Amino acid sequence: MTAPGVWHAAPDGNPADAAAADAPGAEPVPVAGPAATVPPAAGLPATGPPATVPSAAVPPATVPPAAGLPAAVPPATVPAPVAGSAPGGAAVSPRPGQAAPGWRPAGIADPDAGWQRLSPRSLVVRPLTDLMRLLPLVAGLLLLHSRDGGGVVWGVAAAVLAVVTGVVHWLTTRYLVTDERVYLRHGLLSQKRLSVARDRIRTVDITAHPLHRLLGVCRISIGTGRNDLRSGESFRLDGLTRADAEALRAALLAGPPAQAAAAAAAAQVAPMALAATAEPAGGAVPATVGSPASVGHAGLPQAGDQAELARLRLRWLGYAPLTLTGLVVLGVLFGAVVQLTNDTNVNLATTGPVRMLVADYAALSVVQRVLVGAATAMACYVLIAIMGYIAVYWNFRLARTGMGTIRVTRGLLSLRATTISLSRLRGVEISESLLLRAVGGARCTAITTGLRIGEGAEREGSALLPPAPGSVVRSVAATVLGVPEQLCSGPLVRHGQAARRRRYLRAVAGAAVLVLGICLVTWSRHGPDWVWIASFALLPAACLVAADRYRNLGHRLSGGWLIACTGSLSRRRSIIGTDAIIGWRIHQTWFQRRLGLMTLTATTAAGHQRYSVHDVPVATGLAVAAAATPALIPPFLAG
Amino acid sequence: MTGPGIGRGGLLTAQARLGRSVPAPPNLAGGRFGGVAAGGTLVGMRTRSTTAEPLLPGLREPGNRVSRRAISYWTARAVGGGLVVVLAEVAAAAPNGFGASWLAAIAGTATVFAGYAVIMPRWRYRVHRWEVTERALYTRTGWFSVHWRIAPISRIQTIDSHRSVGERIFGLANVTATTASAAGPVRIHGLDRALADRLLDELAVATGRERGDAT
Repeated sequence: MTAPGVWHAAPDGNPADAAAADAPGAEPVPVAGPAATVPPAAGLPATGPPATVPSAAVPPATVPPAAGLPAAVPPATVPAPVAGSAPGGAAVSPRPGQAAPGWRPAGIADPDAGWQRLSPRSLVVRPLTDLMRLLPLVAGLLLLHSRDGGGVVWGVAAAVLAVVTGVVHWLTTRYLVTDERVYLRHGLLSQKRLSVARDRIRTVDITAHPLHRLLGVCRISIGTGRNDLRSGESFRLDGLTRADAEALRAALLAGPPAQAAAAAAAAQVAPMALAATAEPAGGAVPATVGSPASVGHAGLPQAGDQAELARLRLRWLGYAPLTLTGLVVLGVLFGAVVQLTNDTNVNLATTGPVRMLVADYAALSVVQRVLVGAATAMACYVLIAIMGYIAVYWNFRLARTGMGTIRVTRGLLSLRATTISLSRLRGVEISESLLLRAVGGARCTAITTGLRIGEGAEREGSALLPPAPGSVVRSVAATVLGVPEQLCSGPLVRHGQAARRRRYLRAVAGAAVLVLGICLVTWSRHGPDWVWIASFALLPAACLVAADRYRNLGHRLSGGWLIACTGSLSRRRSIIGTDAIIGWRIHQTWFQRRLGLMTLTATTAAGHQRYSVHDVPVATGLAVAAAATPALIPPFLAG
Repeated sequence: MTGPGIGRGGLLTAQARLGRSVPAPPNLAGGRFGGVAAGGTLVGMRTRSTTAEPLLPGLREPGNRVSRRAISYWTARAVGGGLVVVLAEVAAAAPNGFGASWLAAIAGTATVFAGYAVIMPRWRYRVHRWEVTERALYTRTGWFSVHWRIAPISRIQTIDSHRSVGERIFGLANVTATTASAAGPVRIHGLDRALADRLLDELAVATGRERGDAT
């Protein structure tokens, strides 16, 4: 009730539970039954939307009335009985924003009726994944006890433990979808109960690693837009069959059943146009109907795709070595090898092939060594980067579905299907690192409330495209947002001479400090002269960066979209809807004040949480803010 | 200025002590301010007219200053921080017999921190301002670098107040309003404690009127 999105509640013994159990039997609402509409019983606060939620400092009266409750229930009465009646207060999370309402949905007579289990196949998946995670430990124990035969005991113990936890997990994990909310409960000793209001669901992410695929199951996680969830609180179901996952995904992102049926009907009549606006049904012009549902990923459900927006082209592989993905893969591989050799006590340097290689290498001259070393490293890096690209983006496909969502599917071994509600899409970010920019490549990320960029498990989830040609990126970004392509590539408002001067000043000042430091160190340590002489090359390099930074600096406000562009080594163009802006920050340093510049930052609940227009002239920046949010800024303008 | 809230006389004395001429704010003349002191609403309160030339040309200043006791609080904090550094230096210099270079370093640090403790709080007091309107919370903070923050009331998710030991000694409090954006919290530091309590209540009521999920 009091948390935006997901909450925990006290386990059994909650009077609300008893009330639910005593309530005259209403039928539960199964996931697949779109026609069933059971209104939740009044007085059960579990169905309320966890909207604007003040902390404990706020009197209960300020909690907004629950949309799911009959209007007759005064809002002020909703939280009071809940807070007061939860027994065993220790079990209730004391954190602000967490309450203890009856977690069970209203109108369910039998506490287990309607609750669905994971697929029995997860009984296999779960123990095996657990064992896989324990593998280094188990392998170590096996080796340690290989003499006395204790290793077998340890191995059996680990296997039994894994099987038992797997069975317990399967027995205790249930989920339920009602008109209003989705419920999840799991755990035997420490029970977790989660619920999320369906209208809060922004994204649904379906993943399947190789073991999942072998058994035909997958994992589904629901993005609600809350940024402060700990891992245990994320809404995730591991081990659903593909059919169940697809049904759940369709149900979750379709809104209430009636709306879903309407959307499905509309989708059948008029397929989504490529250039349609972000509104699902609005302005749908019959146009290119994409590939049918059967084409695409073999391992993940595909139903509902209407129009394909992009798919992987083989020549995009050329961009792989130009991103850092290769380095990450390299690091992971290296770490795995080190871990393996440590665990198994094998000294790689003494094995035959490695020794031969080392001997050959030692026989070379210095120049040859450098050349061979560089060439080998380069070749390895390119190979691994391409392998990484293929592993992550194989079969990549971006499609618009019939229910106002877009869907990204990708993966070679582990599959991933991310579905993003278009009505929750707040913008798009196009980023080009220097290397990518040199060959005309770019990347594209969605700015959505459900997916916080660069955070934890949802890290790669917001990628709309793999590193791809700039033209493709821009056209896809424009199509997804429903904006003219000009916004993604067109000219920007420049920030003027003062901003240019500041770019140069900052770059040169930074480089000068660096040069000074290098000079001092070399002189004091009597280092070679060429070091400090060479360091002066940093100054012209800084000027080049400054020139590029100014060239990329700019903003634009057009048709309800704020575009901010900045950076040089990594250039980013963020396009965010002005309706997603939930506040402004203006920052002015003393130096900026002298130049009449300021940094204007729009805060939003999506993506990076803030998007800045750097070093904009004060008058221009204020005009932009005022035009973007006409209700908010003008009262504060002077004169 | 020791009474609850911002007293009219207190403000004027504060101004007089700063040695600046204070034009009579129209709000004061209209008697609105007196209403505030008697328990009226803080929404829309502006205890000071905006000066002729705001810090950011084109953007008017928030209407209210923070409590003048904040100057003492900030000074105390600066002095405390300086003392820690200087004492650490003394502790490091003692085994070396307080060489000339050590004494110079200690004297230099002390001078810098003394200057900081004198200049920063007064400068900060002139910058820090806040205002609550029907639609938005508007603050200005900082000193050398200045931050303006504007958050619509409709997007505020939580309102809270935290009092550190230092703030309690000086009878101060801060109020923080968070929005759905992790980058969007708006903080008002150095408020009079009673005023902060009222602000907390009024903001809670104001945000409670809003619907939607504030994203």
